[in-house]
Amino acid sequence: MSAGLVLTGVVKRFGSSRHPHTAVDNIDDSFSPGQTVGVIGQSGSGKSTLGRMLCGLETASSGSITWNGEEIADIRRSRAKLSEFRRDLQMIGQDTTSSFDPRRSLRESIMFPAMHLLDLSAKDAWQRTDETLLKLGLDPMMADRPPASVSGGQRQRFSIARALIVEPSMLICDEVVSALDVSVQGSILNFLKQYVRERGAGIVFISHGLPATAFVSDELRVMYQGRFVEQGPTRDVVASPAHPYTRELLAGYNDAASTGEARIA
Amino acid sequence: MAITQMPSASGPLVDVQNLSIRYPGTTTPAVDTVSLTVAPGETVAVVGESGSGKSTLAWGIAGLITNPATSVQATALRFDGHPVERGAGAVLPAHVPGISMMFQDASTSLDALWTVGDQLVAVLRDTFKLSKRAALVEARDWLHRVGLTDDDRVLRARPYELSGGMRQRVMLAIALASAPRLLIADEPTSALDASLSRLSMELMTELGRELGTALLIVSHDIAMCTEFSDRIVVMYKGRIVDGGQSRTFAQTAVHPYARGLLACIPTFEHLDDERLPTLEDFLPGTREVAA
Repeated sequence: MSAGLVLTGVVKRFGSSRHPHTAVDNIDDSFSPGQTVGVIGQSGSGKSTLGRMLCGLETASSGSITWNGEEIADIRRSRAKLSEFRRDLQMIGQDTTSSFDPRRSLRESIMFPAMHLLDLSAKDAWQRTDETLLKLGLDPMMADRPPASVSGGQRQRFSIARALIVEPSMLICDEVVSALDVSVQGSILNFLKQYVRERGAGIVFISHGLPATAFVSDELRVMYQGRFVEQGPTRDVVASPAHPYTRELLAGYNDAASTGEARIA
Repeated sequence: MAITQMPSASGPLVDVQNLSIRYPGTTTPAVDTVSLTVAPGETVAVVGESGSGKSTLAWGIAGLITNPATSVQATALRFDGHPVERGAGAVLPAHVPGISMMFQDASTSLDALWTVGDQLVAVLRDTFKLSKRAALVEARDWLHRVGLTDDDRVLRARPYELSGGMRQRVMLAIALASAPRLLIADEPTSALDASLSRLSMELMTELGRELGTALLIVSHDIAMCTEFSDRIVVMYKGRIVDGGQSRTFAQTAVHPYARGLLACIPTFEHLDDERLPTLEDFLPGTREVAA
């Protein structure tokens, strides 16, 4: 049995049979706790679809995805197994507006996984929510407000709290900082990196933001038209990109980075 | 509503003096005695964190703050020499002729039930009193101008059938089709990926220059703003704390918050670092602007 996520020949097609669109095209890979992997690519490259499949939110058209040796499709069929899977693996997305129930307070949304996945009593879940929020630098009092009443950066921290309250061993992060201010980005990325390190957890960090991804991830996968066109240790990919697409991606950043540096200096 | 293109006086296009906006039930104003001018054809970027009041400022200028319980006070709040009507209490905000607005989320600002063509044609007919046929020709032209060359398909498509980047281009076409004197873009690119957002920023500023439209860009992306605007103003806790010419702003910024923002731009320099710089490193004791 192999630990973590193992992908074999994973394909995802959308659209009709007459106009099929292959979002993810024959991917073999594995992601396990302890491993930090960044998946970068432009919008439309298939990276979010891949992320959704890793969480079991989307089923592969063909190929297999297993978690600790068990097909995710099978896990989804069993309520108990799915709960266990959700305890182990959590997803954090980009759109925090739609990821919270607008009718519940933030606290209720965060307590929910603690009560239903960890079987905590409401009192214990409340306590744990407070602890988790404090760790993320959030004021527990603020959690009693509806999601619409806090800023986007704060809402993203609350959504991270909701994912981390069950202390997962694997995190799938899809563009978690892309919509946030640069200053907030730093503290969220710092927190994620620290969490992963302390817990020995794994992370699949899906993003188009190359410097941020590189900061969190030891390894990189460059996705283009549904395929990984380049993969390797972050340092190597950034220092000597092999694929023309990676070079193009990096060129934009190096320009920006060098001018940015010049400006700051 | 017809847009009357009045020859503007020599004064600024947007003239805001001591504007304060306070939402009901809050103790601190979202916008606190802010003064800002935008000259005709100028591109001004308002940069700040979430919660800094930058969007509220933009909404105030566009007359979109309609809740009568929200207090809006200013010694001057003028567009093109005319006071901006608030349309307080109206179900739909009053449209200030000559101002177009563009938002971050193209999927919610476009009507999901109308085709792109119908939405674009509606704006063109409304503005210029064109025949349907003439408006359609114009609509195609606009799609080409924003780089959507597959005009037949796009005209017939509904917003959800397009990608995020294409929707953003459609929004830009709709926003500029009414020949506004000012385009207010509230986080126009933050839903797009890095390469797309650069392209779309380029397109927006280029078209703005071409049409002589002034741009007021509200963004959290200070890196992009220094590159694509003439002038930058930095908002912090509802106030404008710093500002200057974009080209030289990195050298001229004096406020610790502005300097901190510039330093927070992630680069590959931090690859081996344990942690990224955060604003707290520059503003000790502050966490984040309250919502």
